Amino acid sequence: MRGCLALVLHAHLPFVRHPDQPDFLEEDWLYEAILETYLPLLGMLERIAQDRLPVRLTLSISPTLLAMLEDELLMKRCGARIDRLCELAGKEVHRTVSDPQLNRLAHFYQHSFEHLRGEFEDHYRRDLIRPFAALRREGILELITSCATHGFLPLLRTVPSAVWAQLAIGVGHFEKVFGHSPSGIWLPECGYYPGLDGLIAAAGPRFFFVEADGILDASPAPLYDVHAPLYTPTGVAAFGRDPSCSQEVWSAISGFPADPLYRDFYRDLGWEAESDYIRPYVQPTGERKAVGIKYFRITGATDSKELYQPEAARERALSHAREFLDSRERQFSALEPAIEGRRPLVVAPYDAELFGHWWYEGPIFLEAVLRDGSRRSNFELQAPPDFLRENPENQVAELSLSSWGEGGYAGVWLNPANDWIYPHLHRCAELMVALATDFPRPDDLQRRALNQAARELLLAQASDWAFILKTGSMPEYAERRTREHIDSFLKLEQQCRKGPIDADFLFRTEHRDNLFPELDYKIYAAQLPEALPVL
Amino acid sequence: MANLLNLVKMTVSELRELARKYLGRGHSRLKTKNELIAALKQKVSDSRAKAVPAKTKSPPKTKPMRKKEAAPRRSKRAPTARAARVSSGSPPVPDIGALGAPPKASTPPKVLNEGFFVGAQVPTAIARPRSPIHLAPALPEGYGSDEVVAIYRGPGTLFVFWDFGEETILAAAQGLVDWRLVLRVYRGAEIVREVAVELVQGRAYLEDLPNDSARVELHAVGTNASRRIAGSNVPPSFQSDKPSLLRLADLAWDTPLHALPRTAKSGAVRVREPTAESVQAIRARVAGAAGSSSPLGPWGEHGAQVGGVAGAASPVAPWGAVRRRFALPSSR
Repeated sequence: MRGCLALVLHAHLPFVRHPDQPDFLEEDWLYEAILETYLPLLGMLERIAQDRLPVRLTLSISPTLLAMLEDELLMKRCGARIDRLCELAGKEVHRTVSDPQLNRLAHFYQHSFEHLRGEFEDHYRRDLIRPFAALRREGILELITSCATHGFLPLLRTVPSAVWAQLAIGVGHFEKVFGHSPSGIWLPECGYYPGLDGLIAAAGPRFFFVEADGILDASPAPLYDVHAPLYTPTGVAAFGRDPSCSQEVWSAISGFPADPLYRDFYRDLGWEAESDYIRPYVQPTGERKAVGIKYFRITGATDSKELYQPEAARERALSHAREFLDSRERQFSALEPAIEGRRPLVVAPYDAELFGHWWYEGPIFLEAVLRDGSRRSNFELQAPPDFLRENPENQVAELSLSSWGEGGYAGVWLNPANDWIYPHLHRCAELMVALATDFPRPDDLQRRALNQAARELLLAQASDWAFILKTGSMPEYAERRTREHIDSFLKLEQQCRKGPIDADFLFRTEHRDNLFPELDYKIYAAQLPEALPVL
Repeated sequence: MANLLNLVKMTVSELRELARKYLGRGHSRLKTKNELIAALKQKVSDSRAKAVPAKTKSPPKTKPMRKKEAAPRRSKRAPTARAARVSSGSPPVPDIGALGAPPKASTPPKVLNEGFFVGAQVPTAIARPRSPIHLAPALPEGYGSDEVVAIYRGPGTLFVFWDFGEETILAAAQGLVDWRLVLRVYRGAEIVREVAVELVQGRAYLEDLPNDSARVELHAVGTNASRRIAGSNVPPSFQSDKPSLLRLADLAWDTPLHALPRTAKSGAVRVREPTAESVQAIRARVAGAAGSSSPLGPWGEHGAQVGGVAGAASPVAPWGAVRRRFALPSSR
């Protein structure tokens, strides 16, 4: 029986929006992801749709990312960012004219940015959500949701209403944007704890993904390893990540993106050009930042980098795609006789931003995997619903606590670098539940304040802040965001309780943190609609 | 170190002595009582993760859970835009001035290792991004909610935090002689761990605990008596401890989950229990073919084997006792 390869991309960025400042460094995360990942991904999927290839790809778009893609201000700023890049690339073409090799690269970037500008402004008209929805209608994409602000659920469970709000608001926002319910949900960081399935089932999604350990440690032990989903006692299906697919891409030693021919992420013109020359394209203060023009390839374990060669890198990406698929063929050949009478399953989930942003050639790799994968004889590229439709009988088991973080539990999101967050998150969640219970009939201003308090709490719960604090990459910003949202929540809570509500403060906060306009704070007061185990 | 309440009760000279002992260099700059207390509190906060186990009244009877080995699993995910980010103009990369000249790699950002993956290690010389941000607001040190909360971080490790007003503690400690605060971890009625803590410490990790700890309590313990202040149930840890049979259920995709209880009640959901023999046979086959026990899998380039039968290369027992990260409760 032909196997099922389920490729899953999880697209997520934390909500970063600073309308009060015209140029804010961390907003670049979104613009870079649009330019380097989302636009190439859309282009690639549209080509595949045009060619009517029989492939299915699962894409989760987190609600915070959706909210930013919906935001007019951010999309306008993204357009301006692309304009500046095109301008800089044009200057680079002139600047490098005496060096043919470098000049060829400058032309490469100029062409690439002009093409992306055409896609963003003319083809999509700054609306990237509609084409994703169209690809879903074409049958290429299976779109799923994630939790409202990417809260790491195993650590929010001390207040179950907080977990429910993350799930239900995530599902609700997806429905508002796409007009239909998501078939599945991406649990932030693959974080799962026993009993969570009851809330997921009540929120509606039929499946979710866990780290392989979540399946392997299930009770009773899985019959088919990670090569079949498990039904939880409430009937939601859990799909386990295949370790070998992860290893081939992520391994620091043997992973594809570490190939010497690929573009080096860190050698960026923003760091290397003359300061007067680059000044209009970096931070308003003149401080440098990456601008997206990178002339060097990884080369090897040396500081002396060689010039990037796009064509050679492209060839290598195509070759890596073949290697990946050959490996899957061998994997399915091994699995087929072992899992007789069933379709063997391999689930390969990745962060979407890997492809293009971190691994520049990733979209080429991905397109080749989808195109070549559609022609392989012993497996098909499918999405979880396809598998569940065709294979409705699966083992019932209770899954264990797991995440895809280092160590497999909650250690990445709870450690001495970030544990100060959790007493605040816990207490604020308790206060939110109390507010929602105590204000059943608010006046208009109170309702706005209560809704905004809920938004601030949700934003403070984002797993991204704890993650960044742990990695130490941008701890100042992560700490600032956590503190600001908790502080805003507490102010609003006090104003609701003791009055008066500061309308100016409320307006400013609403203006800045404007996600989920449909949010109703009463979700925190609702009795938990947990589904009961029936299997 | 003394807890906050004791600090408040101390004289300045006693506090100076503590500061000399615990703060070391620079303690003489602390002039007032408030400054001394604040600095000592900070010291306590800094060492919060190092809760010193007190005398264990009843050692855990279960073997401490085996901690999961760190390697070789990938560290989560790719560094995405939300994580590592090079930014801001810290020093090191000189300008590439000459028109048309390729950027010199003479002083590149120092990448410790090679490749995309390790590129996540932002070169330290250039890495600290600095947005033009104002100072983050200060948050309350506590909320006076008078509660203890405990949650498992991983096998055998509880993260406990507490938040009490001083009045609550003083009231609980009334009549106690030479008292101190302790956290007690219970499994059923049995105390499996007792740890001395400071009120201002606020949180602690308790390690090497059984995975079925039921609750954590904060007590004021004096030489003459002890008094319970508050307790918290520990949410279930890693997996259900209910023994469960191996079952296969047939769920039609078109049946919404909210209709499942009704469907199941009517008998329309087929659930079957495979025979022990068939389970054994499947597990034996899958153990040889599945890749979760080896990142390369048996189909890997160095291909130990391709196909069916569990071989010597597989660490999985032929009957498929799939590897577990932690010991199962004995009831299973």
